[in-house]
Amino acid sequence: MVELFNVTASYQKGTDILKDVTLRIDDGEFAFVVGSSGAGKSTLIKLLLKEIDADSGSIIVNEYNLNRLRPKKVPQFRRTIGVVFQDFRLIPNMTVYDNVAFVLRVTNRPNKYIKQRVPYVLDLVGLMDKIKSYPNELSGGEQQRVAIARALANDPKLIIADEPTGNVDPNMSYEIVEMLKNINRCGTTILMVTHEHDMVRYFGGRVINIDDGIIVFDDYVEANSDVQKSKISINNDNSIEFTNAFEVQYDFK
Amino acid sequence: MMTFASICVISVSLLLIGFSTLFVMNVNKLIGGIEDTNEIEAFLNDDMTQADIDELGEKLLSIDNVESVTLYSKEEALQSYIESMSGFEEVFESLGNDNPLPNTYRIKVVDTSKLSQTVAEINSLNYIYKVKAPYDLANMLTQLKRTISIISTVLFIALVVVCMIIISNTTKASVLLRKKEINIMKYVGATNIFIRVPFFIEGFTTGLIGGMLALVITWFGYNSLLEAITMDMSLWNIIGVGGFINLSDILLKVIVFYLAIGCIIGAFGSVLSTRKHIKV
Repeated sequence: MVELFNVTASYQKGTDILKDVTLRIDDGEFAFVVGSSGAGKSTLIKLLLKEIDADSGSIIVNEYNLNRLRPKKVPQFRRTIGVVFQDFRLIPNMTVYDNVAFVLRVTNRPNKYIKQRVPYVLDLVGLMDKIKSYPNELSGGEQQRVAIARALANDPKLIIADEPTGNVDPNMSYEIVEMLKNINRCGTTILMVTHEHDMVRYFGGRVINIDDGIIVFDDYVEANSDVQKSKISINNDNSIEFTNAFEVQYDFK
Repeated sequence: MMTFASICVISVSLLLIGFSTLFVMNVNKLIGGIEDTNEIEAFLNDDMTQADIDELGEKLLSIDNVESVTLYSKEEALQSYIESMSGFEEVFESLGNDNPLPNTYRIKVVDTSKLSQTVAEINSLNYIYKVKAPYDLANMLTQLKRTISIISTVLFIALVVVCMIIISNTTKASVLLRKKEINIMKYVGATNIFIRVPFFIEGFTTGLIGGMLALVITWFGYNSLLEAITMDMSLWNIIGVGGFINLSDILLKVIVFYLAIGCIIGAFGSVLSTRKHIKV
Protein backbone atom coordinates (compact mmCIF):
# COMPACT_ATOMS: atom_id res chain seq x y z
CA MET A 1 0.00 0.00 0.00
CA VAL A 2 1.13 3.52 -0.82
CA GLU A 3 -0.27 6.40 1.18
CA LEU A 4 0.67 10.05 1.00
CA PHE A 5 -1.04 12.53 3.28
CA ASN A 6 -0.66 16.30 2.71
CA VAL A 7 2.83 15.82 1.27
CA THR A 8 4.82 18.85 0.19
CA ALA A 9 8.29 18.39 -1.26
CA SER A 10 10.89 20.70 -2.73
CA TYR A 11 14.53 20.60 -3.74
CA GLN A 12 15.07 24.18 -2.62
CA LYS A 13 13.08 25.98 0.05
CA GLY A 14 10.37 28.08 -1.55
CA THR A 15 10.09 26.11 -4.80
CA ASP A 16 7.66 23.31 -4.06
CA ILE A 17 7.63 20.49 -6.59
CA LEU A 18 4.76 18.63 -4.93
CA LYS A 19 2.17 20.67 -3.12
CA ASP A 20 -0.02 19.20 -0.39
CA VAL A 21 -0.48 15.88 -2.20
CA THR A 22 -2.79 13.27 -0.69
CA LEU A 23 -2.93 9.90 -2.40
CA ARG A 24 -3.70 6.28 -1.59
CA ILE A 25 -2.94 3.25 -3.72
CA ASP A 26 -4.19 -0.01 -2.26
CA ASP A 27 -2.44 -3.37 -2.43
CA GLY A 28 -2.95 -5.07 -5.78
CA GLU A 29 -3.82 -1.86 -7.66
CA PHE A 30 -2.40 -0.75 -11.01
CA ALA A 31 -2.12 3.00 -11.32
CA PHE A 32 -0.83 5.16 -14.12
CA VAL A 33 0.76 8.45 -13.05
CA VAL A 34 0.69 10.94 -15.90
CA GLY A 35 1.74 14.53 -16.25
CA SER A 36 3.93 16.81 -18.29
CA SER A 37 7.66 17.27 -17.72
CA GLY A 38 8.38 19.03 -14.43
CA ALA A 39 4.89 18.28 -13.10
CA GLY A 40 6.35 16.39 -10.12
CA LYS A 41 6.21 12.74 -11.27
CA SER A 42 9.92 12.09 -10.68
CA THR A 43 9.77 13.80 -7.30
CA LEU A 44 6.91 11.51 -6.35
CA ILE A 45 9.04 8.46 -7.25
CA LYS A 46 12.03 9.81 -5.33
CA LEU A 47 9.83 10.29 -2.28
CA LEU A 48 8.41 6.77 -2.55
CA LEU A 49 11.92 5.31 -2.79
CA LYS A 50 13.09 7.43 0.17
CA GLU A 51 15.66 9.04 -2.08
CA ILE A 52 14.52 12.43 -0.81
CA ASP A 53 12.44 13.43 2.21
CA ALA A 54 9.19 15.35 2.19
CA ASP A 55 9.19 18.83 3.70
CA SER A 56 5.85 18.09 5.35
CA GLY A 57 3.13 15.46 5.38
CA SER A 58 3.41 11.71 5.87
CA ILE A 59 4.30 8.89 3.50
CA ILE A 60 3.65 5.19 4.11
CA VAL A 61 4.87 2.59 1.63
CA ASN A 62 4.50 -1.16 2.21
CA GLU A 63 3.81 -0.56 5.91
CA TYR A 64 6.98 1.53 6.30
CA ASN A 65 6.43 5.03 7.61
CA LEU A 66 9.04 6.88 5.56
CA ASN A 67 8.97 9.93 7.84
CA ARG A 68 10.27 7.81 10.69
CA LEU A 69 12.42 5.42 8.69
CA ARG A 70 16.00 5.51 9.91
CA PRO A 71 18.76 5.52 7.23
CA LYS A 72 19.89 2.09 8.49
CA LYS A 73 16.46 0.62 7.63
CA VAL A 74 16.27 2.11 4.11
CA PRO A 75 17.91 -0.92 2.38
CA GLN A 76 15.45 -3.27 4.12
CA PHE A 77 12.54 -1.07 2.97
CA ARG A 78 13.79 -0.89 -0.63
CA ARG A 79 13.88 -4.68 -0.84
CA THR A 80 10.07 -4.59 -0.76
CA ILE A 81 10.01 -2.52 -3.97
CA GLY A 82 10.98 -3.36 -7.54
CA VAL A 83 12.06 -0.48 -9.73
CA VAL A 84 12.01 -0.29 -13.53
CA PHE A 85 13.75 2.66 -15.14
CA GLN A 86 13.33 4.29 -18.54
CA ASP A 87 17.03 3.70 -19.32
CA PHE A 88 16.91 0.04 -18.11
CA ARG A 89 20.04 0.48 -15.94
CA LEU A 90 21.46 -2.93 -16.75
CA ILE A 91 25.12 -3.59 -16.03
CA PRO A 92 26.79 -3.89 -19.45
CA ASN A 93 29.51 -6.37 -18.51
CA MET A 94 27.09 -8.81 -16.91
CA THR A 95 24.98 -11.41 -18.70
CA VAL A 96 21.18 -11.36 -18.49
CA TYR A 97 21.40 -14.07 -15.81
CA ASP A 98 23.92 -12.09 -13.74
CA ASN A 99 21.98 -8.83 -14.07
CA VAL A 100 18.99 -10.50 -12.44
CA ALA A 101 21.05 -12.59 -10.00
CA PHE A 102 22.89 -9.44 -8.96
CA VAL A 103 19.93 -8.05 -6.97
CA LEU A 104 19.53 -11.36 -5.17
CA ARG A 105 23.23 -11.46 -4.30
CA VAL A 106 23.00 -7.89 -3.01
CA THR A 107 20.27 -8.99 -0.64
CA ASN A 108 22.33 -12.00 0.49
CA ARG A 109 20.03 -14.68 -0.95
CA PRO A 110 21.54 -18.21 -0.94
CA ASN A 111 23.02 -19.48 -4.19
CA LYS A 112 20.54 -22.34 -4.40
CA TYR A 113 17.65 -19.89 -4.32
CA ILE A 114 19.31 -17.63 -6.91
CA LYS A 115 19.80 -20.58 -9.30
CA GLN A 116 16.09 -21.37 -9.11
CA ARG A 117 14.69 -17.86 -8.98
CA VAL A 118 16.58 -16.26 -11.89
CA PRO A 119 15.46 -18.75 -14.59
CA TYR A 120 11.93 -18.54 -13.19
CA VAL A 121 11.62 -14.76 -13.53
CA LEU A 122 13.39 -14.77 -16.90
CA ASP A 123 10.87 -17.35 -18.07
CA LEU A 124 8.05 -15.06 -16.87
CA VAL A 125 9.26 -12.28 -19.16
CA GLY A 126 10.00 -14.72 -22.02
CA LEU A 127 13.76 -14.33 -22.08
CA MET A 128 15.01 -17.80 -21.21
CA ASP A 129 16.69 -18.05 -24.60
CA LYS A 130 18.69 -14.88 -23.87
CA ILE A 131 19.95 -15.96 -20.44
CA LYS A 132 23.61 -15.92 -21.51
CA SER A 133 23.40 -12.76 -23.65
CA TYR A 134 24.85 -9.42 -22.73
CA PRO A 135 22.66 -6.26 -22.67
CA ASN A 136 24.27 -4.86 -25.85
CA GLU A 137 23.12 -7.98 -27.73
CA LEU A 138 19.46 -7.27 -26.87
CA SER A 139 16.87 -4.90 -28.33
CA GLY A 140 15.46 -2.06 -26.19
CA GLY A 141 12.32 -4.06 -25.48
CA GLU A 142 14.30 -7.11 -24.44
CA GLN A 143 16.51 -4.99 -22.18
CA GLN A 144 13.42 -3.57 -20.50
CA ARG A 145 12.08 -7.10 -20.01
CA VAL A 146 15.34 -8.01 -18.27
CA ALA A 147 14.85 -4.94 -16.07
CA ILE A 148 11.32 -6.14 -15.26
CA ALA A 149 12.68 -9.60 -14.43
CA ARG A 150 15.22 -7.93 -12.16
CA ALA A 151 12.45 -5.93 -10.46
CA LEU A 152 10.50 -9.15 -9.96
CA ALA A 153 13.43 -11.13 -8.60
CA ASN A 154 12.99 -10.07 -4.98
CA ASP A 155 9.24 -10.80 -5.16
CA PRO A 156 8.35 -7.20 -4.30
CA LYS A 157 4.97 -6.01 -3.03
CA LEU A 158 5.21 -2.91 -5.19
CA ILE A 159 6.79 -2.21 -8.58
CA ILE A 160 7.50 1.37 -9.52
CA ALA A 161 8.00 1.75 -13.27
CA ASP A 162 9.40 5.13 -14.29
CA GLU A 163 8.59 5.69 -17.98
CA PRO A 164 9.32 2.02 -18.77
CA THR A 165 8.26 2.46 -22.40
CA GLY A 166 10.27 5.63 -22.99
CA ASN A 167 13.19 3.91 -24.73
CA VAL A 168 11.49 1.01 -26.50
CA ASP A 169 9.85 0.76 -29.90
CA PRO A 170 6.07 1.36 -30.13
CA ASN A 171 4.89 -2.23 -30.45
CA MET A 172 7.11 -3.30 -27.59
CA SER A 173 5.75 -0.46 -25.41
CA TYR A 174 2.32 -2.06 -25.36
CA GLU A 175 3.86 -5.45 -24.72
CA ILE A 176 5.78 -4.06 -21.73
CA VAL A 177 2.62 -2.56 -20.20
CA GLU A 178 0.71 -5.78 -20.89
CA MET A 179 3.46 -7.62 -19.04
CA LEU A 180 3.17 -5.25 -16.06
CA LYS A 181 -0.62 -5.69 -16.13
CA ASN A 182 -0.16 -9.45 -15.93
CA ILE A 183 2.26 -9.11 -13.03
CA ASN A 184 -0.37 -6.94 -11.34
CA ARG A 185 -2.99 -9.65 -11.87
CA CYS A 186 -0.79 -11.90 -9.73
CA GLY A 187 -1.17 -9.44 -6.84
CA THR A 188 1.75 -7.02 -7.14
CA THR A 189 0.90 -3.34 -6.85
CA ILE A 190 2.14 -1.39 -9.87
CA LEU A 191 2.73 2.33 -10.11
CA MET A 192 3.65 3.29 -13.66
CA VAL A 193 4.74 6.76 -14.58
CA THR A 194 4.22 7.69 -18.23
CA HIS A 195 3.42 10.58 -20.49
CA GLU A 196 1.96 8.42 -23.26
CA HIS A 197 -1.73 9.30 -22.95
CA ASP A 198 -2.88 7.09 -25.82
CA MET A 199 -1.42 4.07 -24.09
CA VAL A 200 -3.14 4.99 -20.83
CA ARG A 201 -6.49 5.30 -22.64
CA TYR A 202 -5.90 1.99 -24.40
CA PHE A 203 -5.32 0.06 -21.17
CA GLY A 204 -7.56 2.09 -18.89
CA GLY A 205 -7.65 1.71 -15.11
CA ARG A 206 -6.70 4.15 -12.42
CA VAL A 207 -5.10 7.31 -13.73
CA ILE A 208 -3.48 9.95 -11.53
CA ASN A 209 -2.68 13.16 -13.34
CA ILE A 210 -0.19 15.51 -11.71
CA ASP A 211 0.14 19.06 -12.93
CA ASP A 212 2.42 21.64 -11.38
CA GLY A 213 2.80 19.56 -8.22
CA ILE A 214 -0.92 19.07 -7.65
CA ILE A 215 -3.08 16.01 -8.36
CA VAL A 216 -5.61 17.39 -10.82
CA PHE A 217 -7.24 14.06 -11.73
CA ASP A 218 -7.46 10.76 -9.89
CA ASP A 219 -10.09 8.37 -11.18
CA TYR A 220 -10.72 5.16 -13.09
CA VAL A 221 -10.74 5.35 -16.85
CA GLU A 222 -12.36 2.66 -18.96
CA ALA A 223 -10.09 0.73 -21.29
CA ASN A 224 -10.65 1.83 -24.85
CA SER A 225 -9.29 -0.70 -27.28
CA ASP A 226 -10.54 1.48 -30.10
CA VAL A 227 -7.71 3.84 -29.36
CA GLN A 228 -5.16 3.19 -32.03
CA LYS A 229 -2.06 1.80 -30.40
CA SER A 230 0.35 4.53 -31.18
CA LYS A 231 3.34 6.28 -30.00
CA ILE A 232 4.20 9.91 -30.49
CA SER A 233 7.88 10.69 -30.38
CA ILE A 234 9.46 14.11 -30.65
CA ASN A 235 12.63 13.99 -32.71
CA ASN A 236 15.75 16.05 -32.15
CA ASP A 237 14.70 18.47 -34.89
CA ASN A 238 11.38 18.96 -33.03
CA SER A 239 9.44 17.11 -35.72
CA ILE A 240 6.71 14.81 -34.40
CA GLU A 241 6.72 11.16 -35.38
CA PHE A 242 3.54 9.16 -35.12
CA THR A 243 4.05 5.40 -35.19
CA ASN A 244 1.46 2.66 -35.24
CA ALA A 245 2.19 -0.26 -33.03
CA PHE A 246 1.72 -3.91 -33.79
CA GLU A 247 -0.83 -6.07 -32.09
CA VAL A 248 0.23 -7.32 -28.66
CA GLN A 249 0.66 -11.06 -28.83
CA TYR A 250 2.40 -11.66 -25.57
CA ASP A 251 1.25 -14.71 -23.69
CA PHE A 252 2.02 -14.24 -20.00
CA LYS A 253 2.58 -17.43 -18.09
CA MET B 1 45.23 -0.17 -15.67
CA MET B 2 43.58 1.95 -12.96
CA THR B 3 44.87 -0.44 -10.31
CA PHE B 4 48.40 -0.12 -11.70
CA ALA B 5 48.10 3.69 -11.56
CA SER B 6 46.80 3.48 -7.98
CA ILE B 7 49.69 1.21 -6.94
CA CYS B 8 52.19 3.67 -8.45
CA VAL B 9 50.52 6.65 -6.73
CA ILE B 10 50.56 4.86 -3.37
CA SER B 11 54.21 3.85 -3.83
CA VAL B 12 55.31 7.38 -4.73
CA SER B 13 53.26 8.80 -1.84
CA LEU B 14 54.78 6.34 0.61
CA LEU B 15 58.27 7.06 -0.70
CA LEU B 16 57.68 10.77 -0.04
CA ILE B 17 56.37 10.09 3.47
CA GLY B 18 59.03 7.45 4.20
CA PHE B 19 62.02 9.45 3.02
CA SER B 20 60.75 12.60 4.81
CA THR B 21 60.42 10.60 8.03
CA LEU B 22 63.88 9.04 7.59
CA PHE B 23 65.32 12.50 6.93
CA VAL B 24 63.77 13.87 10.12
CA MET B 25 64.92 10.83 12.11
CA ASN B 26 68.48 11.29 10.81
CA VAL B 27 68.49 15.00 11.59
CA ASN B 28 67.30 14.20 15.13
CA LYS B 29 70.04 11.61 15.48
CA LEU B 30 72.65 14.10 14.26
CA ILE B 31 71.38 16.67 16.74
CA GLY B 32 71.50 14.01 19.45
CA GLY B 33 75.14 13.36 18.50
CA ILE B 34 75.98 17.04 18.80
CA GLU B 35 74.15 17.22 22.13
CA ASP B 36 76.20 14.31 23.49
CA THR B 37 79.46 16.12 22.80
CA ASN B 38 78.39 19.13 24.82
CA GLU B 39 78.43 18.90 28.58
CA ILE B 40 77.99 21.07 31.64
CA GLU B 41 81.21 21.50 33.58
CA ALA B 42 80.91 21.93 37.36
CA PHE B 43 84.17 23.14 38.98
CA LEU B 44 84.63 21.97 42.57
CA ASN B 45 86.13 23.67 45.61
CA ASP B 46 89.66 22.58 46.58
CA ASP B 47 88.81 21.85 50.23
CA MET B 48 86.89 18.65 49.45
CA THR B 49 87.67 15.16 50.69
CA GLN B 50 87.20 12.15 48.39
CA ALA B 51 84.04 11.30 50.37
CA ASP B 52 82.66 14.82 49.68
CA ILE B 53 83.42 14.44 45.98
CA ASP B 54 81.67 11.06 45.79
CA GLU B 55 78.67 12.38 47.73
CA LEU B 56 78.41 15.34 45.36
CA GLY B 57 78.52 12.94 42.41
CA GLU B 58 75.53 11.07 43.89
CA LYS B 59 73.65 14.34 44.41
CA LEU B 60 74.31 15.42 40.83
CA LEU B 61 73.05 12.09 39.50
CA SER B 62 69.84 12.46 41.51
CA ILE B 63 68.92 15.64 39.60
CA ASP B 64 66.06 14.85 37.19
CA ASN B 65 67.56 16.05 33.93
CA VAL B 66 71.04 14.63 34.56
CA GLU B 67 71.89 11.61 32.43
CA SER B 68 75.46 10.92 33.60
CA VAL B 69 78.32 12.49 35.53
CA THR B 70 82.04 11.92 35.01
CA LEU B 71 84.72 13.11 37.41
CA TYR B 72 87.64 14.81 35.72
CA SER B 73 90.27 15.08 38.47
CA LYS B 74 92.62 18.03 38.86
CA GLU B 75 95.54 15.68 38.07
CA GLU B 76 93.95 14.57 34.80
CA ALA B 77 93.18 18.20 33.96
CA LEU B 78 96.76 19.28 34.58
CA GLN B 79 98.18 16.38 32.61
CA SER B 80 95.91 17.17 29.70
CA TYR B 81 96.81 20.86 29.92
CA ILE B 82 100.56 20.11 29.97
CA GLU B 83 100.16 17.88 26.91
CA SER B 84 98.35 20.61 25.04
CA MET B 85 101.09 23.15 25.87
CA SER B 86 104.14 21.19 24.73
CA GLY B 87 107.33 23.30 24.79
CA PHE B 88 106.39 25.08 28.01
CA GLU B 89 107.06 22.16 30.37
CA GLU B 90 109.45 24.25 32.52
CA VAL B 91 106.60 26.63 33.39
CA PHE B 92 104.65 23.78 34.89
CA GLU B 93 107.74 22.39 36.64
CA SER B 94 107.95 25.64 38.58
CA LEU B 95 104.55 24.91 40.07
CA GLY B 96 105.97 21.92 41.91
CA ASN B 97 103.15 20.05 43.65
CA ASP B 98 100.86 23.05 43.56
CA ASN B 99 98.11 22.20 41.00
CA PRO B 100 95.95 25.32 40.36
CA LEU B 101 93.33 23.43 38.33
CA PRO B 102 90.12 22.28 40.10
CA ASN B 103 88.39 18.91 40.19
CA THR B 104 85.57 18.98 37.66
CA TYR B 105 82.35 17.05 37.14
CA ARG B 106 81.37 16.73 33.48
CA ILE B 107 77.59 16.39 33.35
CA LYS B 108 75.46 15.16 30.45
CA VAL B 109 71.82 16.22 30.42
CA VAL B 110 68.80 14.42 29.04
CA ASP B 111 66.97 17.47 27.67
CA THR B 112 68.95 20.52 26.63
CA SER B 113 65.81 22.68 26.70
CA LYS B 114 65.87 22.40 30.52
CA LEU B 115 69.51 23.45 30.72
CA SER B 116 69.01 26.68 32.74
CA GLN B 117 66.90 24.90 35.33
CA THR B 118 69.45 22.09 35.64
CA VAL B 119 72.35 24.56 35.99
CA ALA B 120 70.43 26.39 38.74
CA GLU B 121 69.96 23.12 40.62
CA ILE B 122 73.66 22.27 40.25
CA ASN B 123 74.63 25.75 41.46
CA SER B 124 72.55 25.32 44.58
CA LEU B 125 74.70 22.38 45.72
CA ASN B 126 77.59 22.87 48.18
CA TYR B 127 81.26 22.69 47.14
CA ILE B 128 80.60 23.96 43.59
CA TYR B 129 82.17 27.33 42.91
CA LYS B 130 81.43 27.66 39.21
CA VAL B 131 79.30 26.03 36.50
CA LYS B 132 80.01 26.36 32.82
CA ALA B 133 77.19 25.47 30.43
CA PRO B 134 76.87 25.66 26.61
CA TYR B 135 73.78 27.89 26.68
CA ASP B 136 74.01 29.17 23.12
CA LEU B 137 74.36 25.73 21.59
CA ALA B 138 71.63 24.32 23.83
CA ASN B 139 69.24 27.10 22.84
CA MET B 140 70.06 26.61 19.19
CA LEU B 141 69.56 22.84 19.39
CA THR B 142 66.32 23.19 21.34
CA GLN B 143 64.99 25.64 18.78
CA LEU B 144 66.15 23.42 15.92
CA LYS B 145 64.52 20.32 17.40
CA ARG B 146 61.27 22.15 18.02
CA THR B 147 61.22 23.53 14.47
CA ILE B 148 62.02 20.14 12.96
CA SER B 149 59.37 18.48 15.10
CA ILE B 150 56.69 20.97 13.95
CA ILE B 151 57.76 20.80 10.29
CA SER B 152 57.89 17.01 10.29
CA THR B 153 54.44 16.67 11.93
CA VAL B 154 52.87 19.15 9.50
CA LEU B 155 54.66 17.53 6.57
CA PHE B 156 53.56 14.04 7.61
CA ILE B 157 49.89 15.02 8.03
CA ALA B 158 49.93 17.04 4.78
CA LEU B 159 51.48 14.17 2.83
CA VAL B 160 48.99 11.63 4.20
CA VAL B 161 46.04 13.93 3.36
CA VAL B 162 47.43 14.70 -0.11
CA CYS B 163 48.00 11.00 -0.75
CA MET B 164 44.46 10.14 0.29
CA ILE B 165 43.09 12.84 -2.04
CA ILE B 166 45.26 11.59 -4.91
CA ILE B 167 44.20 7.99 -4.28
CA SER B 168 40.59 9.06 -3.97
CA ASN B 169 40.83 10.82 -7.34
CA THR B 170 42.68 7.92 -8.96
CA THR B 171 40.07 5.43 -7.81
CA LYS B 172 37.25 7.83 -8.71
CA ALA B 173 37.60 6.76 -12.34
CA SER B 174 37.14 3.11 -11.45
CA VAL B 175 34.24 4.05 -9.18
CA LEU B 176 32.66 6.03 -12.04
CA LEU B 177 32.83 2.92 -14.20
CA ARG B 178 30.84 1.17 -11.49
CA LYS B 179 28.54 4.11 -10.74
CA LYS B 180 25.61 2.37 -12.44
CA GLU B 181 26.29 -0.77 -10.42
CA ILE B 182 26.36 1.21 -7.15
CA ASN B 183 23.20 3.06 -8.14
CA ILE B 184 21.30 -0.16 -8.88
CA MET B 185 22.62 -1.72 -5.67
CA LYS B 186 21.17 1.17 -3.69
CA TYR B 187 17.76 0.89 -5.38
CA VAL B 188 17.48 -2.84 -4.76
CA GLY B 189 18.32 -2.49 -1.10
CA ALA B 190 22.04 -3.09 -0.73
CA THR B 191 23.52 -1.76 2.49
CA ASN B 192 26.35 0.79 2.36
CA ILE B 193 28.71 -1.77 3.88
CA PHE B 194 27.84 -4.32 1.17
CA ILE B 195 28.62 -1.71 -1.51
CA ARG B 196 31.80 -0.48 0.13
CA VAL B 197 33.38 -3.82 1.02
CA PRO B 198 34.65 -4.63 -2.54
CA PHE B 199 36.08 -1.11 -2.88
CA PHE B 200 37.65 -1.40 0.58
CA ILE B 201 39.25 -4.74 -0.27
CA GLU B 202 40.46 -3.45 -3.65
CA GLY B 203 41.92 -0.32 -2.03
CA PHE B 204 43.46 -2.33 0.81
CA THR B 205 45.14 -4.76 -1.63
CA THR B 206 46.32 -1.90 -3.83
CA GLY B 207 47.75 -0.18 -0.75
CA LEU B 208 49.46 -3.39 0.36
CA ILE B 209 51.14 -3.92 -3.02
CA GLY B 210 52.02 -0.20 -3.23
CA GLY B 211 53.48 -0.42 0.28
CA MET B 212 55.61 -3.44 -0.61
CA LEU B 213 56.90 -1.74 -3.76
CA ALA B 214 57.78 1.40 -1.79
CA LEU B 215 59.49 -0.75 0.85
CA VAL B 216 61.76 -2.40 -1.72
CA ILE B 217 62.61 0.96 -3.34
CA THR B 218 63.31 2.52 0.08
CA TRP B 219 65.55 -0.38 1.11
CA PHE B 220 67.77 -0.15 -1.96
CA GLY B 221 67.48 3.64 -2.35
CA TYR B 222 68.25 4.52 1.27
CA ASN B 223 71.10 2.04 1.60
CA SER B 224 72.71 3.28 -1.64
CA LEU B 225 72.32 6.88 -0.49
CA LEU B 226 73.80 6.04 2.91
CA GLU B 227 76.71 4.26 1.27
CA ALA B 228 77.43 7.30 -0.91
CA ILE B 229 77.19 9.77 1.99
CA THR B 230 79.25 7.76 4.47
CA MET B 231 81.98 6.80 1.99
CA ASP B 232 84.24 9.32 3.71
CA MET B 233 83.28 9.28 7.39
CA SER B 234 86.14 11.58 8.39
CA LEU B 235 84.05 14.64 7.56
CA TRP B 236 81.27 13.45 9.85
CA ASN B 237 83.78 12.63 12.58
CA ILE B 238 85.11 16.20 12.41
CA ILE B 239 81.59 17.57 12.79
CA GLY B 240 81.28 15.23 15.73
CA VAL B 241 78.15 13.34 14.81
CA GLY B 242 77.39 9.77 15.75
CA GLY B 243 76.41 8.43 12.32
CA PHE B 244 73.16 7.77 10.51
CA ILE B 245 70.14 5.57 11.08
CA ASN B 246 70.71 2.06 9.82
CA LEU B 247 67.59 0.75 8.07
CA SER B 248 68.19 -2.84 9.15
CA ASP B 249 68.06 -1.69 12.82
CA ILE B 250 64.50 -0.45 12.38
CA LEU B 251 63.42 -2.86 9.62
CA LEU B 252 60.35 -4.19 11.45
CA LYS B 253 59.11 -0.67 12.21
CA VAL B 254 59.69 0.36 8.58
CA ILE B 255 57.78 -2.68 7.26
CA VAL B 256 54.83 -2.04 9.60
CA PHE B 257 54.90 1.69 8.79
CA TYR B 258 54.89 1.23 5.01
CA LEU B 259 52.33 -1.56 4.87
CA ALA B 260 50.00 -0.01 7.45
CA ILE B 261 50.08 3.47 5.91
CA GLY B 262 49.75 1.95 2.40
CA CYS B 263 46.71 -0.12 3.39
CA ILE B 264 45.08 2.78 5.25
CA ILE B 265 45.61 5.24 2.38
CA GLY B 266 44.48 2.68 -0.21
CA ALA B 267 41.40 1.44 1.64
CA PHE B 268 40.10 4.77 2.91
CA GLY B 269 40.97 6.65 -0.29
CA SER B 270 38.98 4.07 -2.21
CA VAL B 271 36.01 4.13 0.16
CA LEU B 272 36.09 7.94 0.17
CA SER B 273 35.56 7.99 -3.60
CA THR B 274 32.35 5.94 -3.31
CA ARG B 275 30.83 8.41 -0.87
CA LYS B 276 29.25 10.65 -3.51
CA HIS B 277 27.57 7.79 -5.37
CA ILE B 278 26.39 5.96 -2.31
CA LYS B 279 24.04 8.77 -1.27
CA VAL B 280 20.96 7.62 -3.21
